[in-house]
Amino acid sequence: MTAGRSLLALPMVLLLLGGAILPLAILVVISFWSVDFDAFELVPGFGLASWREVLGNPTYPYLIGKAVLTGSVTAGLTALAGYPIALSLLRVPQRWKSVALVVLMTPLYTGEIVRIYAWRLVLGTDGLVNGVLLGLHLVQVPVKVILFSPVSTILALVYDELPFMTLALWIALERLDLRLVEAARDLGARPLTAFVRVTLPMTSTGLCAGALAVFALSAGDLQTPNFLGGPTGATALASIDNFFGTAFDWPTASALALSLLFALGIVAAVASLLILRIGGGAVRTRP
Amino acid sequence: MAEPRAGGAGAPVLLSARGLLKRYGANPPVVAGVDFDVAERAFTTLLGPSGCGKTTILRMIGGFETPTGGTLTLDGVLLGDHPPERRPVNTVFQSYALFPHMSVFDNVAFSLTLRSGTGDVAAKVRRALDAVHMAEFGDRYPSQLSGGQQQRVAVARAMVAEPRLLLLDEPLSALDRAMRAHLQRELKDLQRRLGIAFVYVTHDQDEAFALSDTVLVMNAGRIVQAGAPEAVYRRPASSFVAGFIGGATLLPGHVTAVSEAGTTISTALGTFEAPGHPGLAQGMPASLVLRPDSIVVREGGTVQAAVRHVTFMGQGYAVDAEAQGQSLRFAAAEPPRIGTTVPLSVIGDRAYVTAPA
Amino acid sequence: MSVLFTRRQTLAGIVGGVSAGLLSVERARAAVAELVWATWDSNAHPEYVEPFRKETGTAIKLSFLSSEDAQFAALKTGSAKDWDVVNPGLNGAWRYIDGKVLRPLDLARIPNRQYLYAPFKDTPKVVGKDGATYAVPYLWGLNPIVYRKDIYKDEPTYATLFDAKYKGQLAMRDYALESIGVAGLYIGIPRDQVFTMDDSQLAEAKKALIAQKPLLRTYWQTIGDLTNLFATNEVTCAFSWRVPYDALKGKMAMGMAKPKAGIFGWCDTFAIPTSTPDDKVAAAHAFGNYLLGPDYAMAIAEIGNYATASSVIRDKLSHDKQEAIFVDDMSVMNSFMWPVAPPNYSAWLKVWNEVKAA
Repeated sequence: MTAGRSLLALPMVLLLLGGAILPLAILVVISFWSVDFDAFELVPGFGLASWREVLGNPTYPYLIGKAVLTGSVTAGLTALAGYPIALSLLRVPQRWKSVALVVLMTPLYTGEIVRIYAWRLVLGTDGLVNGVLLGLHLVQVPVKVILFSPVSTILALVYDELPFMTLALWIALERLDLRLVEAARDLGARPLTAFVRVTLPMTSTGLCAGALAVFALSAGDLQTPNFLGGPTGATALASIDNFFGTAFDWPTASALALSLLFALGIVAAVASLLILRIGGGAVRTRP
Repeated sequence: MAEPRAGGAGAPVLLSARGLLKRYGANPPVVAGVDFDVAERAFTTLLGPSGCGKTTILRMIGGFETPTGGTLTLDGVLLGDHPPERRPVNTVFQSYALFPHMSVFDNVAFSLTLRSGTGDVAAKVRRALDAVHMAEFGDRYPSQLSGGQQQRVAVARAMVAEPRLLLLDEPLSALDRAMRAHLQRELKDLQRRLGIAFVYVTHDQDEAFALSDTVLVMNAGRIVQAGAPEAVYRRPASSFVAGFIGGATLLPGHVTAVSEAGTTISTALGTFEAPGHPGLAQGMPASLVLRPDSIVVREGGTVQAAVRHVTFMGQGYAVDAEAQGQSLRFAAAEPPRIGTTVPLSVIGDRAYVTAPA
Repeated sequence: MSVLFTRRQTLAGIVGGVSAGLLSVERARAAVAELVWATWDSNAHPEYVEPFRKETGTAIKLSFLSSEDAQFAALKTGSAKDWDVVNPGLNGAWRYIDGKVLRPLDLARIPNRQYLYAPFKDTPKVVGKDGATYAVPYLWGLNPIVYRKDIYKDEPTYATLFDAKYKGQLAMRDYALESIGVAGLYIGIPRDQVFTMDDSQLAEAKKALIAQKPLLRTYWQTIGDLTNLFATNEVTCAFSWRVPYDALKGKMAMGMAKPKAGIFGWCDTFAIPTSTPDDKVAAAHAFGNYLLGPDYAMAIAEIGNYATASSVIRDKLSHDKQEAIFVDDMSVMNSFMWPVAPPNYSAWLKVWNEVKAA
């Protein structure tokens, strides 16, 4: 019986090994190799040069920290925006819910590049926001600080990843017994207090799932910072791309990729633990 | 049943509803403009079949539904659209709605932690848990408790907030019979000890009679009778009330005379005189309500009935008989033989003439 | 008259040579039905290669590249075994040669090489250490500064891209080789030494690039991106390709500047990977020869505004068209600097990462 059950897990184990562990192991090995730039060939060996470059040059810890920050801020903002949306979706009549789902997912049907150019049309010098500001005589010359800044990058990332957060929260909220919220109100909690003390912990698994997805997607996004960040658009991913592709410096690329992965993994794990702790008993003792 | 009641006719009114109306869209109103009062320290029960609007009234008092019309006044203050947290009212929910992510202690302490100046929270929580015999369970989580234990915690959690009025929405409906009877007594004791007014919702007339000072019988969004349990039992305001309370035999007929002594009703089984519902007049259609103890087997009885079933009830027997196609149920100390015909007599002052539904 | 005569003779010679070459290929390799050409989409509209199919019966199947690096990686890792003709950039050709992913070419099978402009014919960049030629330049252009004539009175130079007066309306390409190269020219490195800057010169260039950052609206990613930036008034002057000029010259006052300090040229070559089957090698040579011939040159000059590396049809073009594809004044060839991947390319990439993260 048990042996039979374990066999069922075999495809998953193989998939994990082949799809995740093996490529990572290859990265680890290559990160210690060097490159013969004359023959354009990787030279196997054990050297620490690439790790020294990645960990010793402040540029890369900075870029990794920036990825963590971008992921965290985006996850936080999508949660702030996602809860009100998901809560209002709860009130949508059952037969309209599939329509709401389709609408919610709209940003995902367009390509990332399309969305990026759309944001430029909205935020740019000749864009919608400036058109309104100029039309209302609130400014005399177009505001240039919105586009090509961290603001436009985060705005676009929040828009891009919001469906993942909202969907996760929505599913969690649909499973929440709304009488618990009524009970909290009944016992004297204001709406925000009831949210913090009941809704939030009771949907912490959904929040955790949404936050992890948004964190990973936004910390690992290359195009949005490239196209909307302007001079502030540098990312660890672009550096990895430069090393892997342009410079054929696979060892440094591997070391940087592994460092980024490690940092994102640690932050994601710690954040998940913290989020799930809000839900404490709800998660622990659900029958 | 003879115990002194709180909240009699002279007790001060705590909550009053006037023209209370709730309607969703174009549908018929769920609560069709009702008036009632809840007295201080009284145990008031909203009794009626499911869908009659009793839970909606409770939710409007709690602040979870906004009335479409009418007013609710508590302690002389209009509740208006005060949110739940601003009403001195707490609720024991039907499925208890205990917070699954908090221990029993934290559940009970919840309302205390929201306010400042609540004194020794731990002591208050302990007292509340003591009062419901749950002092040992503070560290448990709701999912580790039985239904009855959860119900007690829910009561403790609502009471610790010291409400002026406690609302209970079918709090015992999920429990088995023995546990239900046990907790009924506990609830009643507690209510008397604390002197808090309870508004209780149930569809179980036995529970309503066992607990209440005042029963408000509801049907289709209206209160069809309000009164003490005995009054509702003995003098149902309509054949609906009599039927819903159950155990009664209803003989349809029409009023032939009304006098000081009683109301005379003519039925297929003969003419009877009994106390009558106010407002009945000669010629009106009416029903004679017969309780099991309203009918006796007596030599010379005018109704000849064939015995169909006899059920042993412990202290006596319940007999189902039939006369001219009309079934009758009555109590007897000695069981008549099934299939025999017995002469029956109606004890007029234990019967009641009521209006049709 | 005599000039004309000469031209006619030349043309006759070309046609004869081309047909002879093609005929021999056809006879020898009638079996080759299809060649797969890995190249840029702008180099290979179907109408550019249709005459080749008509003449030889060999259809050209197009496989479009996403980046130079992806092309190199695909050849290096062997994941592109179906490619019969590939498209290394002239400046990076040495990578492919040193990486041993190309076959040596049989120049006798590419008679049209004789019409190559001198800089392309004589370039050592396509010759391996063994003396064999591995690639032949066939298409080229230059990367001008594109600017708005209504905003810049004088033709911009590289210094304009570092001028605080134009803060917030300048753009550089998000590409280490070109942007650091521009900075090298700006700080006064001679154009023939830009790609061999030493560490202290690199550090100077890095300083200039970091000082330039606040002046930039953005670093452009793709040429469509930059065109969009010009069209929406975000950018008025950028180190560019010619595309925004062509796309927008009808709508706004666009200009192209070719700074005297040095012009970044680009040049595509054709080459035959080692993985091409032996029975296709002759047809692949014939196709290379076609790319240097008149049909391809005429089609891409008319439709794509590009000049091939071959002079074969130059004199048949109008002066306007010659100007449009930069072959009106051949002295341009003298200020070219062909960007090459520097020997310390990895150091360049690190500098670029540091500039962007600064």
